[in-house]
Amino acid sequence: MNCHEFPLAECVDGTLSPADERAADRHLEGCPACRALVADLRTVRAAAFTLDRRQPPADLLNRIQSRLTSEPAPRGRLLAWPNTRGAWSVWLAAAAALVLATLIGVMPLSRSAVDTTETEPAPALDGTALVDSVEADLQAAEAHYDRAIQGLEQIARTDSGELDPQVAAVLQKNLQVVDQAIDESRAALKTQPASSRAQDGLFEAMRTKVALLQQTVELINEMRKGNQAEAGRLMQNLSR
Amino acid sequence: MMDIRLPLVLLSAALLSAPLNAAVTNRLPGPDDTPRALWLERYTEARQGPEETDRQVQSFKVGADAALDLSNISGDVQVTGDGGTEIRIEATKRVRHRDANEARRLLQQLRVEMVQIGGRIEVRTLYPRRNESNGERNISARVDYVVTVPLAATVAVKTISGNAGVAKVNGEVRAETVSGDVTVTGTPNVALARTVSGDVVARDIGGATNLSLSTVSGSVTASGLKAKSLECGAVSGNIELSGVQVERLLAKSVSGDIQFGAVLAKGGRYEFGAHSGNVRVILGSDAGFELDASTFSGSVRSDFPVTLRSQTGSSRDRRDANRTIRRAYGDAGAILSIKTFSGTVVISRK
Amino acid sequence: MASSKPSGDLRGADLDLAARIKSGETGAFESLYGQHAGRLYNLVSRMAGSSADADDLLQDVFLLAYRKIGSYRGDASLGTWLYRLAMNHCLDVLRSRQARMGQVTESMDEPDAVPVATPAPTLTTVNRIDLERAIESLPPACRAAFLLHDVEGFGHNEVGDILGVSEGTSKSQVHKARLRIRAHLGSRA
Repeated sequence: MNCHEFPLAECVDGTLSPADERAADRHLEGCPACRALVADLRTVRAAAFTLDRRQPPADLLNRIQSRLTSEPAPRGRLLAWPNTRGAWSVWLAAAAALVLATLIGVMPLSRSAVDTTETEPAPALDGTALVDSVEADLQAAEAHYDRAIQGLEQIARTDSGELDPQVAAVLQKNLQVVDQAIDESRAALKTQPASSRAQDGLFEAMRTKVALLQQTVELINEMRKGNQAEAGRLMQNLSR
Repeated sequence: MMDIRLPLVLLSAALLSAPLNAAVTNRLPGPDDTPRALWLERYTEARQGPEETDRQVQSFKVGADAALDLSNISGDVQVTGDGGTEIRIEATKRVRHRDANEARRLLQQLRVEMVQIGGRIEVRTLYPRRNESNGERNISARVDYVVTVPLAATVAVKTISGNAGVAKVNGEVRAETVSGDVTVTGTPNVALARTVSGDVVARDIGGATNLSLSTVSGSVTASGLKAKSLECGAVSGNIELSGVQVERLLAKSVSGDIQFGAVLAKGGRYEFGAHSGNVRVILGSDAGFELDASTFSGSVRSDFPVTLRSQTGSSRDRRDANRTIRRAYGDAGAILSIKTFSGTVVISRK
Repeated sequence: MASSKPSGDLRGADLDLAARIKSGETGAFESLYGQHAGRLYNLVSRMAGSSADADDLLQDVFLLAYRKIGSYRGDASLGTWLYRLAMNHCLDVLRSRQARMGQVTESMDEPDAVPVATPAPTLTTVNRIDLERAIESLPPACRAAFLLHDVEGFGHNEVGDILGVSEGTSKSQVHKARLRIRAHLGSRA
């Protein structure tokens, strides 16, 4: 296989079949250029995860609603919006599910855009269907993270010989701290699947793991660059 | 009474007049003279041989687009802004070897490369290749840099093993190390101050826009800051913020604790997240804020008597009563959002 | 007004909610907002590039959704329908903005005009601010695919659904975006 034939996009995404993956790995073993490119693109992809989750201002719904009150309802009637005083009311049955739905992907720490003010539970929307679809989305988000983590872990594992042993040890130890957080959150989710705090915990920890792995890969790339890679291994740290 | 007071006044006056940047500039490269350091010096000399040093100094005239891009491996980097129009770099190479000739040879091969491209100065430390040093396995080599730049310069420095410090620079600052501390003072625009194994200290920064401080296993300490937004992250280290005036704060850790003591800005947003770390927020009695604090298995406590903003009528909420607080206090101008998984959350009153 | 559809029928729940929004039922619109606003805002704000624009864009999206809810037929999920609406609106806004500034608009199926980056720069620090800027410099359709796939975590088939292109086009657009971002970040170092 030469570089033109190399399935770059699929390799970065981790969607190659086992046979194709073996062939790709063989090419990578002998091609530092493609190796660097794959590492870079995976880094870009992982970095996309760690972007800020931006949130709409809390009063945006109000603004929309006030614009709509001056509009005819889709069927031509004027609407009277309930006076919800800066928040909107959510049925108790679907409250947890809706909160979960807004947390798909990377979890923002603050949910000031969502106010779960409980009013009298009105029997209305069948919450179960909603929870099912939310759960499917959550599983997809988790799978998305898992793939990114696996890709980065692979690089970190195979190439961490480039790192100073002390640094590698610190990174390893802290990856364990994060892994523990992930395990605890997963265990919590098993007992309380609707708990938004457990969800937050899981996705926040996964996000941190991606960031940490990304940092590890960046360091490995650093160490490789030019002469420095050689000397780094020989170098002895004088004063700390 | 008078007799005692006078010396006390003199003493406090002396303390107050101590230079503010003392803590910053004390990391000058070179051996310091504490007993332990001297012992270490003698021990290292016995094991690895005497130290050969070589110092070079170079200055570059730069304009309004002054930028420093310095990349080091082992050794400290200290950058300070001054009122000039030059970037002045002092690089001290230090090599140890049992054979003095070999040490000198290695010293020569350890290169400091400085290149000027317009207003941008690129500095790189280049180590000798392995084969050039006869397969030597025990090189002890470092380069320590002391740099001055114009006040408005942008600065990007990194080292792998060593401390990085930037002081009094108004342009965008990035300071990174892997094993070592990062210290930034008087730098209003810190895009990145980061280390893996070490502490990040940010001090005396007034009128900043954005600051981003992070470590993996050290601590983040910020004091005397005034900024629009501050972002801090640690994995197993602690975050300690005091005397910090910001409009937007994001502080996250995994197992480290977070402590925040400050005056809240009206309409400010303060977000804290920890997994097993504890979060403690210390506020003045006149603080007005809307609090949204929750934990999965830790506990939440507030010293502030608060008025309920939302009814918590359902039985589920009663069971979680000590796990979630959603309250308002005072004029509820600022928003405090605190989430942990198993860490405790404490809002205490100063 | 309990749903007459059996639970587990996702499309049924969507059609139900759409009907209730259309009839102006209390809380139905809020329910739609609550489900999707957070994630959509994250998307539109990076399409728009500024938070002031993002607020406006998100309002537009939900207003459009309210006006057009009658045309929702259930062939896609309500979420996908809403995202389609949002992305089309953002692309329209961006392209008209570019046209006003005299820039040529790009088509999704254009051959890759970006020279394939040589493997020379290896990324080290990916600073968040640099990444945001790099994303802002992506052409609109490329940006859309990247945001949907790499930032929001949609699969290529879902991205294709939302943007009205094939799965293959989504893959190539995301790949193009990553290469451009890499080049952008590498040149900054």
